[in-house]
Amino acid sequence: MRQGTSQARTKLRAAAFHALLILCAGMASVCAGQVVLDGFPTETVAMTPEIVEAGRQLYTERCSFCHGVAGAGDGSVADYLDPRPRDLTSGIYKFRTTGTGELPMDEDIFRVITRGVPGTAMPSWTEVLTEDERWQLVHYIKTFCEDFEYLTEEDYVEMRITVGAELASTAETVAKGEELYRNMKCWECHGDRGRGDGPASGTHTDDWGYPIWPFNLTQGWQYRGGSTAKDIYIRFTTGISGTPMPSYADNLSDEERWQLAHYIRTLIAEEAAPGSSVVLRSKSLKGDLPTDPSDPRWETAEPTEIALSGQVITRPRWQNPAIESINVRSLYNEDDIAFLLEWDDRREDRVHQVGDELSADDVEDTYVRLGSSRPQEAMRDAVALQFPVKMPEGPVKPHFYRGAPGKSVNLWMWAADRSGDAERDTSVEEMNATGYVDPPVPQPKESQQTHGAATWSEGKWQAVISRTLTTEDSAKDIQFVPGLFIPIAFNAWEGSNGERGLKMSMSSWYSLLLETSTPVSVYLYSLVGILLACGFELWLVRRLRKAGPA
Amino acid sequence: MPRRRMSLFWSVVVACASIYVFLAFVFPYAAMWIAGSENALPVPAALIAIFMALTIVGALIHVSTDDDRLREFLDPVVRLLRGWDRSEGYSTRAVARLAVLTAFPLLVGWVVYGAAAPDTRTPSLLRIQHPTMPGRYENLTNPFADVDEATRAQYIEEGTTLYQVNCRPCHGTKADGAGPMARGLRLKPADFQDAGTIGTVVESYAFWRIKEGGRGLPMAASPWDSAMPAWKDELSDEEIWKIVMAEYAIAGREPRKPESHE
Ligand code: HEC
Ligand code: HEC
Ligand code: HEC
Repeated sequence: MRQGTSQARTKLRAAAFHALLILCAGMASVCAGQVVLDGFPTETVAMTPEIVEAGRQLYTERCSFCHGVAGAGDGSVADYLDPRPRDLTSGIYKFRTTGTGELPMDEDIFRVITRGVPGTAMPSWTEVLTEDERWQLVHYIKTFCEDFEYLTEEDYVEMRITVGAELASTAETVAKGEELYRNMKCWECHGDRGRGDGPASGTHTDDWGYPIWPFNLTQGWQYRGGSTAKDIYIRFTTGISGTPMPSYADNLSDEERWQLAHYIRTLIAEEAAPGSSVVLRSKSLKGDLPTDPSDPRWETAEPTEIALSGQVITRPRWQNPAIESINVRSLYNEDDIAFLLEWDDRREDRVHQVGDELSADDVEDTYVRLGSSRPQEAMRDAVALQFPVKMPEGPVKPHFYRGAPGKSVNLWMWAADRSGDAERDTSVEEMNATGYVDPPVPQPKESQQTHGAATWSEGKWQAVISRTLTTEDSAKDIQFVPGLFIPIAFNAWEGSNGERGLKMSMSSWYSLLLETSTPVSVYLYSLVGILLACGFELWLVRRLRKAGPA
Repeated sequence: MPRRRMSLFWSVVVACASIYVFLAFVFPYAAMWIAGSENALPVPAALIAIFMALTIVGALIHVSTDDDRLREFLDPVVRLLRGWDRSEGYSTRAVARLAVLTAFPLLVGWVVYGAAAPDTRTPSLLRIQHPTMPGRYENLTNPFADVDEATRAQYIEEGTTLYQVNCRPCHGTKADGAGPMARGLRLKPADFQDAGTIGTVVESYAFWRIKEGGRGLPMAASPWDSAMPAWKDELSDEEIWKIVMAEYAIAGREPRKPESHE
């Protein structure tokens, strides 16, 4: 009995001691505010010569073609990429939890290898490399830059930033954050609505001399360092080394940082994920169609988000497109159909200098090479809708990339430089193409029947493009019939990104449906069916009753 | 007391229903078990329709062979239509009768509506991923199949570089079909790590696909939706064979062995 109590007491004491330990550890981590992010390793692995050697082999196999055999960022793929693969000998790391200008923590490098850098060529390696293998790479790539060798344990503790407990996101914190966004002049680079279109946008180069654009804060899927409030907090606290994005470590209190981070999160557009719907529904409207992008009637049409990629099917293959999605709405009435296209574009480019198309022969490499110098070519912004000329019978369509010989497509191309052109009545040109080999052929002036109006503001184009439902020229023009699924595709050009001709963004085929209300006749037929069935039943019942019990 | 037999009408109904349940639900799993397949093997709707039509015709012939049987069969139907005397009570039977009598015209109306209303279902991308390759590619073999290990490693390295420059934007650095340019493509670039792509074809098949691209596909594989470029004008045959070797190596897959003609 006595033994029992003393045992119980020891247990109790041990438990109390443990609880105290846990409490202390918890307090310590809160006080130090040590940052833990998703993608951080579960435990740290120290460097040994074997680990470095294993890392070298992995690096040669998995990373060298981008980052270069000696880590100088000059692998075979490097010249085609924007941003370029990092020069790992420079010691410049963008995504850190350390103070501005510092080297990264091992956990930071581990995290980049784990999750990659979204919106760039740097992939995530979670599925193909184990945690141990990722540690081997961390220790190997650190050998490229000798600055790491001089870091002591104390340095690591000192350079690490601290993050206070997260503030809840409320209307009030967001409003405070908006004020900070204005006062801290984030808008000078990132723009009033966050689309990367501020007055200073377009004037920057990074530390390697390449042009760089302020980030478009509305595109949630592109956030390179992560899009949680904590990630964003860390980003403007540490700054992004090697780029004009500054550190605000000395200008903001912890509370203010959370407020600003929560405001930035509200900028992320809450539109449907691109590609989630494949049918663009054109709504039927009584009366005239809107010709102005700001017409409130557009609100009644269901928007469809179209995903775009660079044209990489034939030369000039272009893998650094600026426009990655277009939001489209459509309305139609008895005579006409109109489309509203909206897309993010940091600069308004209304001037065109170079020849219209960039042909395959102008580029030798399989992909457009950016090389070490990137001349800023002044090109116009443009967008095009593509339809098959003939409604496909069955599933057979022209190829989504400019059709095919014998399978012509009809393109309506709106271009920003045309609106002031006195020679033209319209800023939209109708063209036809039967493949990508020859440039599309513009239709003669008298067959140009499309109309367009566009405005640019705060980093966004809005263009309305319209035409009659049917035309006389059925050999070259698509004829719209309500109730059918009509293939539709999109091309887009961002002039400031040097895009023209086949150096463009493009989508696959989507379906356009001019929505029809069910015709009255259908209801009539159904009613007749019901009445007939009732009559038949009545007749049967009466007959059987007359016949009497069997 | 004689055991009450189920009436002829209800036995016909039960027989038809059980055959339907068997075809639509039991058979697919039985077939899956027999064939050792991973998924149930559903009976095509058209086939079910034919079997059911046969069953119903058979049942009708069975009941109409003599007058008594026909009368027995029709009896519940006739009684339902005729209704019962008030004296027999205002029971659930009467409610059921009313329900059947209203349901029939509504069913007819619904069928008519379905047939007449415009179809607004989303069109789907139905295609065959691995159509037969053209004859002239069938007998090609990899010229580098029998090189020694060191040379093989070197070719795979050369192929990897070519793959990473040319194919990575769509098929991805890790050959997982998730390159940066896959985002805007509705027909996604093939995921070579997946068991159903290059792992199920012979090397010459991959060689054909790389050379002729999406536009070289037959109609059944919807060439108009495929972004896969034709590389025949830009990469030499040797380069393509090296890419094929690298592609399998990066994805960690083995090509199918060609059947030997003995
Ligand atoms: C397809 C090309 C490609 C491959 C393969 C690749 N990277 Fe990268 N990597 C990049 C690019 C591009 C960037 C620059 C991103 C930026 O500047 O925003 C980058 C950036 C990095 C960074 C810097 C992150 C920072 O915080 O600034 C590290 C570290 C890195 N890569 C490691 C690796 C390792 C390790 C591998 C191999 C497992 C690898 N990369 C494979 C393209 C690649
Ligand atoms: C001098 C111009 C400039 C100013 C001022 C500026 N930024 Fe940036 N910002 C940039 C650039 C350039 C980038 C893109 C860096 C890159 O591409 O790697 C960027 C990127 C970012 C990112 C994206 C991080 C990611 O994960 O991709 C965030 C968030 C951000 N800035 C927030 C802010 C906030 C908040 C402020 C104001 C407190 C601010 N920036 C002020 C130039 C600026
Ligand atoms: C523009 C994007 C793109 C590029 C670049 C590209 N592919 Fe493809 N590839 C696709 C798409 C989309 C498919 C799936 C449709 C199809 O089968 O045509 C595909 C299919 C394939 C297939 C057929 C796989 C199967 O099992 O059916 C092979 C093999 C292939 N690609 C190899 C390559 C190689 C090798 C390269 C580089 C030389 C390459 N691809 C470059 C988009 C691309």
